[in-house]
Amino acid sequence: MGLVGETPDATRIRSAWMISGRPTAAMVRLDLFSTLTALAPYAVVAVAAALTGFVLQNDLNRVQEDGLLVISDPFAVSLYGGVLLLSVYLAAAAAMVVAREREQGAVELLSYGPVSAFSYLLAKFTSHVLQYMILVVLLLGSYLLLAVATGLRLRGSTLLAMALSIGPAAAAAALGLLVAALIRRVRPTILAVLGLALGTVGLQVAREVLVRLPSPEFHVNPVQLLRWAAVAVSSITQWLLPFGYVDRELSSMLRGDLAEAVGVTVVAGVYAVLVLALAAAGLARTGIRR
Amino acid sequence: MNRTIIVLIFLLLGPGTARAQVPVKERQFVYGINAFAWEGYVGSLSAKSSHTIYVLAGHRSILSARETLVYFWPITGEYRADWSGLNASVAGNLEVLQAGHAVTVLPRQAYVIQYPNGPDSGPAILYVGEEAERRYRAFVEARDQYRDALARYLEARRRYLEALDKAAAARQRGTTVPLPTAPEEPEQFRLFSSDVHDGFLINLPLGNYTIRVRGPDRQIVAGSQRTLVVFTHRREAVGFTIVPQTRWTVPERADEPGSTIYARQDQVLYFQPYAAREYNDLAYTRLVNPQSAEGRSDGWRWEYTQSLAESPLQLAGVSGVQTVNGRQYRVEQKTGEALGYEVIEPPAGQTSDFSGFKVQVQGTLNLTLLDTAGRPVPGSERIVRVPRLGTAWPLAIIPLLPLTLGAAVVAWRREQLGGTGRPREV
Repeated sequence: MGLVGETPDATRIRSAWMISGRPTAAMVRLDLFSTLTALAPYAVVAVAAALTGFVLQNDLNRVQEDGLLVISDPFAVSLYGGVLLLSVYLAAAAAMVVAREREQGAVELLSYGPVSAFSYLLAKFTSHVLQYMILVVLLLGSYLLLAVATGLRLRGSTLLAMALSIGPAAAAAALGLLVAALIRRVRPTILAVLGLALGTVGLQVAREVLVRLPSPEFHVNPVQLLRWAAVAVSSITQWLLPFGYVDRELSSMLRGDLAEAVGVTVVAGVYAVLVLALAAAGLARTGIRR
Repeated sequence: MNRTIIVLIFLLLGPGTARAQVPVKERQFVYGINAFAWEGYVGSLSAKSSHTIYVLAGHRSILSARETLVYFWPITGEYRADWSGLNASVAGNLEVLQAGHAVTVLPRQAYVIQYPNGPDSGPAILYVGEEAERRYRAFVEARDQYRDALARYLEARRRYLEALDKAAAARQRGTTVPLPTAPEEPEQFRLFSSDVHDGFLINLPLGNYTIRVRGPDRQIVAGSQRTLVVFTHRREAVGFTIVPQTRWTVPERADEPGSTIYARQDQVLYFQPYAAREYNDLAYTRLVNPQSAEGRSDGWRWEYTQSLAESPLQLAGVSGVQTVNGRQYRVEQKTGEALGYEVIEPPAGQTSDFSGFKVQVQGTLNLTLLDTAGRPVPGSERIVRVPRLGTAWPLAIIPLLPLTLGAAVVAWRREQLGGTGRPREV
């Protein structure tokens, strides 16, 4: 006991790093290399860039035909779509990697070494967040080229919004890991993640449509009930699921409210940490075996 | 035959009579609302307890407790009041509560709303208490004076026309008679005033309140409880209405301070600046009409508070910095069969169709409104840009670049693995 107490802090940190940190770092490197040398992430960025190109062409047509277009940020809609697409991809990719490694028995093998459920998931989480950062840089490159090609303005707030989208994206990756930790098989895991993403977005769209329908305050009618239900459910999913954070973060940043956008990013980061801890507990509970 | 026609007439008239809509009127308590809005005081009705009343913080509004005949009008889906059938003032004080605690008790006060430039233009002014009585008396006096002056003028004009006729007749007879001088028409009377009514003056800080009327018998007047929302703006800026010369009847608004204006090269635009405030869409919609089914609780809208046409506009572009002033413009239809018009500065004596700052787009321009001291007005900065309106092929090529990069990386990895390993698909 006395010997342990006399061990210098630096030595303790070094030994902890040797035992747990190094394998985690090695897993991060391996995962990052593995995912970045596949075609899928580049295809997702290409789809996001194609969506942006379509939206911008539409804007240019309006200028051509009407002679005038007033717009806060021509990249806002496509930025929202792009970040959402990347977040859904990230959640699905993270879930698929864990579910597949678990199905193949790789997680069980790792557990015989100095790898805990948390460090394993932390490695997956870190590699996917790093992957997101690289993909965002690629998307940004596409945006810059599109801005040069169209002459439409890429605002500083758009760049900041992209940088701050790291928080919601991390939350999405953590959710993917949680789903994979709770569901063993690959296909149900992917379906669950896509279902959550599409459900959140669908609910958001339904809410947007319903709130636009006129409904008097003093009559109880089906539109009002549906609207109330959509608002009530989406106000919960907005906080429970990470895809709502994308909307909030981008809306506040594009409005120029940096403090609120940073706040949303921080909350999304906290969400990611909590969900990651839940995922580790879930993985430990459901077992690492196939 | 005649009998058949009569029967047919009765048959045709019968269903028409049965379909006649006579709304059922119910005697009940209502609040007549005169809410301050930037377009003037907006009169509306709160007939049901479920109606939430919205007013602007920092501005004075009036709630009048009345008893009237209320009916539902299904065509517009609104409750309406038959004021001519019954319009009785309800005695008592207005209790204002917040979170169950009494905030204040408001007595009834006399009020009058006046429009110095006429009912449809310019600002409206609310006067309360003795000032209201005094202003109303002054209005009646001024109106009577104007009426008398107008009567005198009409009489003088009648005499003048008679004298003219006599002078013309005398001239025909060869007699020279001095021509009379034309009477001067009195200046147009623009002031408009409502009658003096009584109501509760609402000028509360931001927040949600409950209001109710307590009668002289110390009892709450049945049906008088309402939710009162006092709201304010989120942001302030300078908003622009932009009138493109090519379609002057369809202006665009550039209210968002960060918005960019894209236009074709050489396009002529006319900018109309206004001080603007951003309000919650639902709150402002219900401020104007508490029974409106429109408005979004999560939406925002800009409302113009006053014109800033007197301030100069600074333009900074490739040709340097210049300052332009607002001018009046007139739209003249081109003659001939072809459709078309041109926007010109009106010759002296001719009316104008709109006013604005004329800007011809030449590359990127930075616009800023300047105040009287020559400083930029905060929130008035806008950028006008000319986008590239050429071919669309770069927009199709650019998305392929990340895909090309991905394919190159995958190929590189396969080469590294010597073709033995299969890259893991994610």
